[in-house]
Amino acid sequence: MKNPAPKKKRRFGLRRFAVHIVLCFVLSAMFFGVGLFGKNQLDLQAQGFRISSRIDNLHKEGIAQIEGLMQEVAGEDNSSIIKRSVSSRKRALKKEVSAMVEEGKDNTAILTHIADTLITEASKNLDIQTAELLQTQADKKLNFVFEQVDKIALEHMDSLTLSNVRKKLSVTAPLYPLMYYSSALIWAGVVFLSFALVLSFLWLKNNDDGRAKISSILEPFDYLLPFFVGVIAFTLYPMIRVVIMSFQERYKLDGSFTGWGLGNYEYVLKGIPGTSNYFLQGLVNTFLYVLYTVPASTVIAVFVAFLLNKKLKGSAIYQTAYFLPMVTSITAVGLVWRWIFNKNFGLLNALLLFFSATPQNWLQATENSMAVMVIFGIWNSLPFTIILMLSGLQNIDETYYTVARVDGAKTPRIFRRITLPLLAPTIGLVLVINSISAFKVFTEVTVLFNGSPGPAYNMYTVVYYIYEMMHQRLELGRAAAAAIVLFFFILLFTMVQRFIQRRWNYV
Amino acid sequence: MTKQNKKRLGTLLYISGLAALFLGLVFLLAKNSGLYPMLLITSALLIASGLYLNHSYQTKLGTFKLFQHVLLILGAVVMVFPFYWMIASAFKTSAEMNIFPPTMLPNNWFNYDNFVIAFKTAPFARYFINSVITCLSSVAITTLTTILASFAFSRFNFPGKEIIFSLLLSMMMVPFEILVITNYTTIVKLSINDTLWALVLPFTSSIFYTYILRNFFQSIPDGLYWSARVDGCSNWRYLWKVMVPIAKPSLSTIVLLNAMASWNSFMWPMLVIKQDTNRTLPFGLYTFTTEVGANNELLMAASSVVVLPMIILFLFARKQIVGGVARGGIKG
Repeated sequence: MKNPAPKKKRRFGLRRFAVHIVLCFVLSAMFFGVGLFGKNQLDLQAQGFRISSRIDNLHKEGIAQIEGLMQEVAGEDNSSIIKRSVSSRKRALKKEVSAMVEEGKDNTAILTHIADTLITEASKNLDIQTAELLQTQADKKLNFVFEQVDKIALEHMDSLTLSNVRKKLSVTAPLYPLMYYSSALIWAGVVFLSFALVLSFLWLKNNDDGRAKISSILEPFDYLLPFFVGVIAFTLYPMIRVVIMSFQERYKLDGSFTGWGLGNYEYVLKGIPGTSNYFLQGLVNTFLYVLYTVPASTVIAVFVAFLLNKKLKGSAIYQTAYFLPMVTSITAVGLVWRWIFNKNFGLLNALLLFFSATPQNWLQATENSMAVMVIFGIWNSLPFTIILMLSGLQNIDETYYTVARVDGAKTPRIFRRITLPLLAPTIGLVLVINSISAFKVFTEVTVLFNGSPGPAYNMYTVVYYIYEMMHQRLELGRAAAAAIVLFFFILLFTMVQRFIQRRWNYV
Repeated sequence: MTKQNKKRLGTLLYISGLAALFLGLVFLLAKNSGLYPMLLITSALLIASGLYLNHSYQTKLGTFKLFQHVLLILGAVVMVFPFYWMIASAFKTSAEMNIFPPTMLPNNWFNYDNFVIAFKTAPFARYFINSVITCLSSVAITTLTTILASFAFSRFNFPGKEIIFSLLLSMMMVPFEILVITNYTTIVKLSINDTLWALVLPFTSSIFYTYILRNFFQSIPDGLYWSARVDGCSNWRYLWKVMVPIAKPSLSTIVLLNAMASWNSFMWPMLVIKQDTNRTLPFGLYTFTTEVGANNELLMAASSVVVLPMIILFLFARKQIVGGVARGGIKG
């Protein structure tokens, strides 16, 4: 289709183009500024790390080596005396070393000082002969020791490159995000700068027609950018990252992990030998929960939807009543059910007693945990299921019913012969969607059993396991592996859902 | 069976049902708990079947309709009763709570002490404000990004549009429970955990809502667009002056679903929030349970406060919410 816009339209395009160039420059300047600031902070941080590593090494290695040398010279008999005298000066030496480092003395000077103090201290305690021997003999070999210590200290300092320092940063450090993401920020600045340069080049090279054309190419991306920032940062990146994380054994929040491999999966699927495997238990529980909740709520929903679908007086009131649990917070409603399930004063036990049944200890007895979850789960998922069934029923052509009624069919027969077969695809779809959402059961467990998975750790679900791994045990790698396993099951259900949607042309 | 016999049988059943009801009531008053439940149920069945046989051929209303109402009312009672129970318990004193079997009505409907105590024990006002802030900002930002993105996907042509969109659709089926791990580390590394930012930032764009709105935008005829363009209207103006007003029903659905999800979200705040003053209502309510222990009347009062805004919203916007859920097939 030819764009019949008048000449006036071009002005929009030109302004957009100019604004883009300016914006890109401004953004790149911003990113550069913030990124360089972060890098600077990181450098300061790294310097601090290096100094403290130098102090540590000189102090620890230096004393250890000099002590070894002294032991060697003084012989076995005096080893305990030397040990004692060294440890008596150790703490004081630490302060002296750090003071000397701050003054800017070099390693040899510091080490000489350490050796001097240690030898004089030892000499005080040893007999004169050995002390003399120590002083004369040790001096010869000290140079070799100094070289050794120097080398170790240098190696340690060299290992503290910026990227290593970045990994060692504590998450709670001030300016942590700026330091952690400093290279990324600088790269973003580079990207924006090059973008700005390319745009300005295009601006200079093209005439107004060309500029308007380029601007129209730019336009959709302006609309998409805010959306994609969120999607990439909080959907696409996590998706990829979680897969990688699941192969990083024992990945922790600070970014450390013990190695690449299938260890996380092994832990999740096998557990610690000899103890109960909570992941498998969670998987079984989740499956059972889906198996009990979904069909029951679907059957009830089909009947209720069938009754609601008729033109009834007060249908709005009924709908309000039936759909109320959908909008209310599971947390709040779960607390209400916990009160209903209360073993001493609960409503449910009162009802049971009313019908001459024995009251149950619903929440604390392990054999009732699943029943509690299922009752609450059905009640909670019913509104959603009914709504989907209702919309499925409304898609059924009215003429079927009319024809059936003309032929003299009664309501139960209509239900069996017309409603059910025509509703079958919807029922299938609802079963799958409900299974997926029941598979992710988490809040119900947490709220009903007051923050623990069942009264005796017997009601783990998959998501609860993930949550516990992540939040309480801080084993993010294992949580990721569990999440990937969960995803495979959900993917399976989703495939079925897609199949149903395609087969019966649902949207 | 002839009509006459049917009617007679119906009358017989009806009368015996009434007798059973009478007996049941007598037993109930005599506190003979063993028999009266069975009697009451039998009487209900007898009366119902009697009415059915007696009236099925006469009235156009039909017993089926009556039957239907009875069933629906029974179901509705089951669905609504927990809410009634919550509110009734919120007005009870702690002595009243510890009576078994429980009383159906609180002694004093104006006993609002529980609310006062609950608000004093935990900063529910603060939780409420936090919830409102996160809900409003997340809904506002999401709606904005959704409108812009779905307009771009429905109106513009750019290379790779179809591929990107189908990729987005396949990303839609990855549940949040799986993304939560990396999002948690991201939030921690940005050092914004334990702030309200952490509750808003991950929920600024939604593929699902974009999908819904794009479908709606695509259903608007092209002619409108071209005639607006001929009149010198830019894409931007067209979006805000023409498309958005037309899409109001769809938009209100999106806003409502989003607001519901944000208001009721529980797992994410529980992960990223530690400080008392940054909690939202559902999470604050959950931590409140450990603070008050066995004082269920306080819990019920607090729960009522959490649930009430959503109930009010639902009463006013039932049609949009139900329509949105039916169209989206996703839980709010």
